[in-house]
Parts: sequence; structure tokens; C-alpha cells
Amino acid sequence: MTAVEDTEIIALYWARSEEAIRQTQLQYGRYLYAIAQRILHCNADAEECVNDTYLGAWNAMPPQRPARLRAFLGAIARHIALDRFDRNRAGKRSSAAMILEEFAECIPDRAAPVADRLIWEETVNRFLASLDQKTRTVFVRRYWYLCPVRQIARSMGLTESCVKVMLHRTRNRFRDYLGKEGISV
Amino acid sequence: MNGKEWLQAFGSIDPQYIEEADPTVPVPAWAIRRRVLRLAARIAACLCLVTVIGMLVLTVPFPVKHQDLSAYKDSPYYALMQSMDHYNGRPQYRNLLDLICRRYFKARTLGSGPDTTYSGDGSAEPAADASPSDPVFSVPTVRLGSYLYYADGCCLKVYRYGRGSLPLLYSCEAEEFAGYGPGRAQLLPDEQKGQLIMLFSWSDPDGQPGGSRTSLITYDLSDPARPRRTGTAITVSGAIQHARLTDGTVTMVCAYTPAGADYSDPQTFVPGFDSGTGWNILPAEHILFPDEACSDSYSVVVSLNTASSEITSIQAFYASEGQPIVTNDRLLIPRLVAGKGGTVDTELLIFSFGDGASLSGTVHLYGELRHLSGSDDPEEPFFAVTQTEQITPFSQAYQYRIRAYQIDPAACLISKEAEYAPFESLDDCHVFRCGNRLFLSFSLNLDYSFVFLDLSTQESDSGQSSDIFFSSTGEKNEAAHATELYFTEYYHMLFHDNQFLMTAKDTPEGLLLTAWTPGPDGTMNAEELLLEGIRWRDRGKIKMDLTVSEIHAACIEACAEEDRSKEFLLLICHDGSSFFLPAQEQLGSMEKPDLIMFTDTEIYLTDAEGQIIVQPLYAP
Repeated sequence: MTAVEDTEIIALYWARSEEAIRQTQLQYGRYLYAIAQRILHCNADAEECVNDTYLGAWNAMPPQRPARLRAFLGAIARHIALDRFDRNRAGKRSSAAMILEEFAECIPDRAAPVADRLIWEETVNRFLASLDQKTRTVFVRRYWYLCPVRQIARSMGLTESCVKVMLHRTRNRFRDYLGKEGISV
Repeated sequence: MNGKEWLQAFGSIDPQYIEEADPTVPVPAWAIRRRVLRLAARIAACLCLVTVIGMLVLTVPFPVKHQDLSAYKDSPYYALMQSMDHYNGRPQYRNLLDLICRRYFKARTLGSGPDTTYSGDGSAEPAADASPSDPVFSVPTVRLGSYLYYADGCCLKVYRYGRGSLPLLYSCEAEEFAGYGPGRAQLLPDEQKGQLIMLFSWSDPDGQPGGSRTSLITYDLSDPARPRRTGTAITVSGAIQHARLTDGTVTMVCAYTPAGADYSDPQTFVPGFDSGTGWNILPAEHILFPDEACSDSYSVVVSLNTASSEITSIQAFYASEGQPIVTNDRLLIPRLVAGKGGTVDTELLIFSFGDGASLSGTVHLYGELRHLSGSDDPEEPFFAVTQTEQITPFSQAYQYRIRAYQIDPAACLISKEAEYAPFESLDDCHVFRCGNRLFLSFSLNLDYSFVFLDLSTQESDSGQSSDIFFSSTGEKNEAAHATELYFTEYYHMLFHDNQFLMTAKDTPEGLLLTAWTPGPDGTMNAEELLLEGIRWRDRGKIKMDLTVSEIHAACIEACAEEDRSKEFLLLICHDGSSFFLPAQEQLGSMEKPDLIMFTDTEIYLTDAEGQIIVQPLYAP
């Protein structure tokens, strides 16, 4: 997808044209479905989540005019999927639950001064910026896209054990980084 | 912040990182390369593992199956049985790899070359004029005055000798041996006592225990035209290899291979003799054997006084292999013994002749014997060439090494180890001497190259020196580098003696005959003769070679160039300076000439029916 095409889709949203939904479905339907599916592990829920994403995008544009439509839509889909996951998970163990367990040692406690989402976002982005591209890609794929370790390893030409070691070390670095930033975990 | 809040908060990271890590984008080339490399590494590792396991399986030594000989502990032949069991019990192949290499690889390389198996019937010895003062060696044909005696199996034939014809005068068959054949026979003339000795090797068709036997039959020559059989002095185990007569004592060497060893019956594996008192096996103290034998044949050496028929000595040497060498004053019997690391070495038993043959010394040579030669000059050394065969531990490839030995008359090894062709096996190997120069010639088995080496020069004319060295281990120290003088494509070896070598080679024009003689300056003199329209028959054989009156001859199978199905025998003669051929060149459809003898103008052949054919020789 080129930037020009993204601009056209955003323009359609701003023009309140239903063609915007159709173009979004064509261009990003599978991408959004994959994100939702990885979190929910249910086809029907994932489909519903994707439809809610289109609605979310319709409501968000205007006023928003995202510079990166792909990431913008992905973030909406992920947010909706996590909400649904929270409702559904009663006693179920999913990949998202496993990832939360994995990341437990890096989750700031409730008393930490991260109530301000902006401070948290900046901290996380600074940390991501400090990583090399390969480590960052592995980290984001695991904790943003919630991809299985095996899939990450295959797509990046690494072994599973290598990916696990990279994630473990990055989590430790992240925990240390949060400590340096004054955020207790 | 709880887990869900954290996940939600993490969802708002910089979009560029989200796009950067998008798992739906195609796998980058470097990741594919890495995946392929990893796959290749895994395949290579698997192959290595399979190879290592395979080599382990292939190189596991085959088990040695020794018999339990404890039941024969009290037998006087117990030590001999142990030595025999070492040979009989060892596996035919060292391991599975050895089996595969020998059955498939080696058979293929050897089979593609010409078959130079000697298929003569023992007529490679000259017809000799008897001389009472010198030792007389056994030959198939003896000429005494105007009579020619020829041992055709157990039948003694008498011809009148004359140019242009050989009329058969008399034929006398040893009746008790009729049907025992085809036997090999040799003759020894004893002019002092006016008798002729025939040594006839036979095997009983009904099968006596222990293989072939040789009988010494005497004929009275009071009437030289009609010999009269006077008796059978002795019968011994084995087939005749050599015999000599001097001062009324016959010494003969027989090769004996037991047909099958049944340790409960010594008759099946111990050689014996019958001197008129029935069959007796040799006492254990008359049998010499190595601790670990590498061959199952005996050489039986018997000395007999022809006047009294008394046995002056009889000995058997176990594990002997190959042709013994007999000169005026010495007898050399090679035998195979176990070397270091599972290799096979050669031990030369050296006998001196006095009242019979007595063992005067032994010499240990590394490797299997490929050549052994000596001369009648008592001051001249013997020469031996051996080849070792080893499997290299890592590559598991066969490694061959040739060694040339010079053995002085006192059985002392004075020079040794010219090493050559470490990865190739040899054929047609021999040593010959010219003046102070020593030459080694051989053909390499893999590419059929033919090599002459001068073991006595520092450098060749071309200045190209090989890695051969000739070092001394004794007092005489005449170290010299060897030099490769000639190296070319395959020549078929036709004939060689200590100072002469005759080869044949197919060329587009025809069969090229070459007579090689080493010159005093270290070069090989080559005299050539091209026989147009003739070529060496595929896988052709050398039927026989012999020397008579300084004329060297070889009889080979050949075929016509334009029609290779048209095969014939070809006789080639050379007197040291010129080639000679029979008038017809081709010997027609004869399967094998049973006898060849010739003068400087004629050759005499016996055909399959025993008829003698006389053909004139001419210089082409």
C-alpha cells in the first residue's frame, strides 16, 4: 500500500463516503483480522472485532488524520480485541494471557506514576528507539502483534530458542530501563 | 496498572515501530537465506552423522574364528596347527569396506587391464645340454647328443634331433599314473650314471588326502633311443617347482597346499613322502612355520642321493608363497608372515646347497613379494621388490608402497626401500642389473603407465629426480637416488630377465614391439619393430616366454587390426640385437603350443595332439 492510496482512503473517510469502509476492508482486512485472531483465537469474534474496527475508524476520522493509516487501524483493532478478550477470558488461557504472564515482571505497579498515558508512551517509545531493529521487531511482534514465538522465528530466519533468549534479555533491559526512569515494577 | 491496561498502553507505541514489525510483510531475503543456510547446515550435519555411522559400520573388523585346538594339545603338530589356524581362522576380508573395495572397486580396476597371466605348462625353462661339473636344473625338454627327450605328462617321448625335422622314436608312459593328469613333468639328465630323472606331478582323481604329489621316476639310458624305466625313487607331497642335480644328489622343491585341514587327521594337512616303505608324513621337527601364517601352502624341499635312493634331507616350510628362486649355490623360498598393523610381510628363507639343501638364513622384507631374482654368480646379490598395502585411517583409501631390496649372498640385507607410487598398485614388477647400475621397472595398475627407474644414478639426463631413495642398512653404503627414466602409456610386458625386457604396445599403425636394454650410461636402449595390421588382443594373454641360447621369445595372443575376431598366436623372438619371427608370423588356430624350443634358424612347437611343428625363423 502506498502513501498516496492511504491518503485517498483517509480523504474518503473525511468525505463520509462508505467507499472508505470498502477500501479499508480491501487493503487492510486481512491484516486487521490477523491481529484480532492472535488475541482472541476465535474466528467469529475476530470478524466482529474487525467490523468494530471499521466503525471505530469511521468515528475517528474526522477529526483524526493519521500519518500511518496501517498502524492507526491496527491499534484500533488491537484495542477492541483486547477489550473483547478481557470480557471473554473468564478462566480461559490464551496467548494474550501467556504474554501477560511473560511480561508480568515488567508491568508497573499501580502506585507507579504512569497514570499519565503520555508519559508511559514516551517511555516505551524511547526504549524501543534504543533497541536495534532486529531486537525491536522481535519485541514488537511478540508484545504488540502477540505473535507466537515459532512464527516470529520462522519469519525472521531465527531459531525459537534464539527468539526466546532475545525476548528474555529485552524484557530484562526494559525492566532495568523502567527502573532508571523511576517507574517501579 | 494491570495487565490489560498495560497491553492497551503498549498498543499506543510509535506507529513506525508497528509498521516496521508488521508480520504480514513478506519474509526478507536475508531471513530466507539464513533459513536455507540453516537447512543446509542441518542436512550437512545429518550427512556427516550418517557418514560417521557408516564408516563405523564399514570399518568394524570381521571376527576371527579360531578353532578350539585344546583337544590336540598333546599332538606333536600342535604348534603347526596353531599357525595354520591363524591363517584359516582369519576373515577373508578385514571389514565390510575391505570387502566392497576388493569385490567391486579392485576387481574393476584390475579387470580392465590386459590379462598377463602366464598360462604356459612349465616350458619356460630352456632345453639344456647336460654338463657333469655344473648343477643341472630340471626342464621339460632335454637334449642329449642327437636325442631330444620331452616329458609329455607321465609319458617320456624321445625324438631324433636334427634340423628341419624331429621324428618321434620312442614313447614310454608310466602306466600307474595314466589318467592322473594333466600332470606337469620335468626332466633331469644324469649323464654320469647314464640315467634320466623325470619329476612328474600328479593328483589322484580318486582323491588322496592332501592334494597333489610329485614322483621321481628314473630311466636307464643305456640305449638312449629307448629309455628303460628303472623305478620310482620317491613320491612327495606337492607339485614340482624346481629341481637340480649335482654330484649325484637331486634337490627338488614342491609346492603343496592341503586340500582341507582336518586337525584330527595330520595326513590331511602335513606333507608326506613315500620312498618305498609306504606313505609317511613328515615329523613335526622337519616342518618350519611362522607363529602367524599368512598363506596355507608349503614348500617341500627334498634332497635324494640318486645312487642309493637315500633321502639326505627333507623339510617343509609352511606359509610359503610364490615361485622359489634356485641358483647354482642357493635356493630362496619366499613365505608370507604377519606384519605390523595387520599387514602382510615376506620372509625369505635362504638355503645353501651342500649335502642337500640347508637353511642358512632368513631375511624379513616389508610387504608382499612382487619380484625376486638372482644370478648364478655367487658374488651377485639377490633382488626383491615388495609392495605394502595399507588403508589410511581417515580417508580409508588404499595406500600402496613399493620397496626394492638388495640381499647379499650371506643373507644380509644391504640396501632397502625404494619407495614409489604410494597410491597405486603395481604389475609386472622386476629388477634387473647392468654393470653397476640397478634398474627397477613396473607398470602402474591404475593408469597402465610403465616406468623404468634407475636406482643407481643421482639424476636423470633431464635432471628430473623422483622421491625414490636407496639407502643402506648394512656395512656397504652405496646410497644413490633413483631416477625416473621413462614414463608413458601402457606397454604389455612380454619378456624380462635380469638384463633384458621386451614389451608390446598397440599403436594406430599396428603392434609396436620394443626390446629394452639398459646401457652403461644409464639410458634405456630401445629397439623397435612395428607389426602392421596386428594388435594385442583385448585382454590377451602371454602364453609363454623363454630363453634358449641367448634368444628370448614370447608367445602371445593377438588379432588382426581390421577384424578383431580373427585371433591367432604370435611368437616373437629376439637375440639381443634383432627381432625374429616365424615364417608365417601367426601360429594359426593352435590353442597353445605345448613346447617351444628353437635354434637360431628354426623353432619347434608341439601342437595339441603332441605333434611337433618346425618353422623357420626370419628377421623382418
